[in-house]
Parts: sequence; C-alpha cells; structure tokens
Amino acid sequence: MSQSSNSNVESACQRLQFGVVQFPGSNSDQDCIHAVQSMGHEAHYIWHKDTDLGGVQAVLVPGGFSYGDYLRAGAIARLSPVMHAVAQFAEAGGLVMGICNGFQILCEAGLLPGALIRNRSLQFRSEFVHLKVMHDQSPFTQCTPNGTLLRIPIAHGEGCYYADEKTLAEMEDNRQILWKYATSSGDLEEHANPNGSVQHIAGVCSQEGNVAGLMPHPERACQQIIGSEDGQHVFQSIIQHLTQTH
Amino acid sequence: MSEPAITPELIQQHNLSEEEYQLILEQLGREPNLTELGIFSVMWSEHCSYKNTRPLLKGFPTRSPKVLVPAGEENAGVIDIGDGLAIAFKIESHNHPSAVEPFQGAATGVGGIIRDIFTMGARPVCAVNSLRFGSLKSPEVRRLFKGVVAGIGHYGNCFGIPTVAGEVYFDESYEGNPLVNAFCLGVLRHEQIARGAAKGVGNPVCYV
Repeated sequence: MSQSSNSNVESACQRLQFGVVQFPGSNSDQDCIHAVQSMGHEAHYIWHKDTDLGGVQAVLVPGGFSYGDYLRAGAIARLSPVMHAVAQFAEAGGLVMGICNGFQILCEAGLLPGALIRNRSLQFRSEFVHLKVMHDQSPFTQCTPNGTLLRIPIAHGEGCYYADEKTLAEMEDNRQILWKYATSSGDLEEHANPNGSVQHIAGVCSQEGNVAGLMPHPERACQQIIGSEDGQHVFQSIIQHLTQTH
Repeated sequence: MSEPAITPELIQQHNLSEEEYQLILEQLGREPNLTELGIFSVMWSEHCSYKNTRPLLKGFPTRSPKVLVPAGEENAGVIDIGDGLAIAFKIESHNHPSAVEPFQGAATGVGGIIRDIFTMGARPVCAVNSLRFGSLKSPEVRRLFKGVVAGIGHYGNCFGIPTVAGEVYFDESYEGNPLVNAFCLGVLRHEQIARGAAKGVGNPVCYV
C-alpha cells in the first residue's frame, strides 16, 4: 500500500486487518470474514496450526463445532498451536472477540472468566434474541450506549453462561458483563433468556477489557436480507476503538 | 469351512425374489455362494438400487439448457441460475438405516446428502426433509420419530447448515417402514464444479 504524505488521510483510509481463526469444525468463519469486509475492512483466515497471527489488529474466534465439541465444547481447540499466539496477542492488549464456540474456547483457554454449559432446556436453540448493552465503555460496545437493544441470532446447545458468586461480583464491579438477554422492550426476564445463563448473561469481557466473548452471532446480523443489521454495531465498536487508538 | 446350501428359505431371508434369483443364476452361469448371495442382496436392495423407485424417477425431465451436470452423472445435479452461479441439490432416502437406528440413521442421511453437495464444489446453504411415519399411537413409531427428528437436527446444527423446511405425514401404512428423505442445496460458481470421474492410464487407484 503506497504511503501518503498526509498522515491524517492515511489513518482515515487505513483498512484494518482482522484475523479469523479457523479450527477443524469452525463453521461461522466465512460469515466473520464477510461481516468485516462488508464494514469496509480486511480479514483473513488464521489456520489453527499457525503460530503467527499475521500482523492483525483484532482476532475473531468464530462459531462452529470445533473438534466436534468432543470432551467439552472448545476443550480441544484451546490446545491448538494458534491459541498460544492468541494468548500472547491478548496479553499485549490486542483485541480478541470469541463468538459462540469462540466464546467457549476463550473460556476454556482461561482468557475469559466463567464457563458455558448445556442450555437449561437441554435443547439446541436457533432463534433471534435481544441483547441489552450493559456497559458501553468497552472496545466492543463503545458504539452502543447503555441500554441499547441489539437483535441478533443465536444457534447453540451449550450457551448457558456460568460463573460462581464471587467471580460474578468481581465482574460486576469491574464492568465485565457487556451484554444480557432481554425482551424487545429491554426487560431482563427469564423468558427472554434462551439458555438459562446466570443473570441472563450473553457476553462478557476480560478484566483488562480487551478480550470479549458472546454467545449470539453478530456476524450473522450484518445484512438486512437475513434478518438484522444490528450486529454491525459490535464490529463498528471494534473498528472505532482501533481507529481511535491507532 | 463348508458353505451352507442355497435353499429357497435362505434366498427369502436375503430378501431376493424368485425372479431375482433366476437372474443371478443366468448372470453367474452357476449358483452363487453365500458371500455372493449376500452381495446381490445388498446391491439389489431398495436402499442401494432404488429398484422400485427408479421406474418412477425416470418420469422426471433431466435435460435442459440450464442443466450443467445431469442427475445421475455425478454426486448431485447442477443447474445454472445465471450470473455465473449455479446450484447443486439432491434428495436422498435413508429409510432403512433410520428404521434400524433412528438417530444415527437420520443423522448420517443428512451427512450423506451434505457430502454429495460439497463434493460437487458447492457450498451447502440449506437442508430440507420429507418424512413419513406410522401412527404416533405406537410407542415404536414415537421412538423412531423422536430419534429421526433429533438426528436430523443434530447433524445440521453441527454443520451450521439450517434445516429450512420439511414435511411429515403419519399413516399406518408406514408402520415399520418410515421414510426419511434428506435434501440439501448448495451454491457455487460455474468454474467451481468438481467432477468425480477420472480417466487416464497410469493414474493411482485408491480403494478406501
């Protein structure tokens, strides 16, 4: 890419590089690439055996059934060579977002607190839900003011978030609970929670705030033709954060 | 090891009709041994050969300027949809496997049809199914029904391919003989069509 003499123009036009990790069994990787590209930025795959992330500014760990959910969802993927590089990237402050299976993998890898267990209904749920933004100061929510409702699809059988009381209290104090399931009018009620997660938690971030995970699929809500564009706000938050701090 | 005699009872147990057995005698020019009888039984079963359905399927049109890969030639047929794009789609039955083991039988039915689509070079985008069961008053039918629905759902969900439509009818005539038909459709560019046929002297052959 040619260097512009005007650095403001350069940074305004600069296309960010997202890396989308691919494990055997990942199935929402293409959608992640497409979502990022549709927002005007670049994305490439990072194979699970790679130990080099390729100079990306953000890492997406996509949804799917990595390793067939054998042992536990994400339990094997977290041992893949690439996860060492992802952990180092996160340690250095890089932005990492895990979606669905990606969220499970990040929890298994210890990059996020808590765990995802079987939906309380014991059923796989594939449907649209409303997410309520609980804290808008994170890189993943800065484009969505507190209370914003996002209509995003879910597709999971093991999305029930759990953390013990002590951890939850710490997370609450530290503003780590980013999204909760809500009704279309923003009420946090049991019937709006598709999997029985504690406190209706849909997504969280790490203590440092640069690693996030959520069960719903924002990458599947970036085009009106498939039901919702609300997912764009999540990617826009990441983009805005990276562009501001660049 | 002595071979058992090919008796009319043995032939019947292998689900081969008298006419079929006569055909075997003509084709081999002798009596088949037990292994050969077994192979004919499998290859000439409805599941493998569609012998009862084939005459009915022949009634459908298979040629048109939009047909890029005709049905029966490869894993799935491919139709042009314009703008350099094409669709590969196919429906296949998995009746007997589902009758024997409903969950895995139906799951592998979905798996098999998805396979037929992506091996054509297409990206599967949706699954559909057509099911028939006996009366739900029967506990056995309920067992099959639950297993089949769970199997179809499970496999599609793991793949991330949505099952977008389906139909199910219940009638006593299907008792003991559920029908489980799995359909998949995929999208591809014309230049992505992959064919399974290969030719040429000196190529390696792998028997898997």
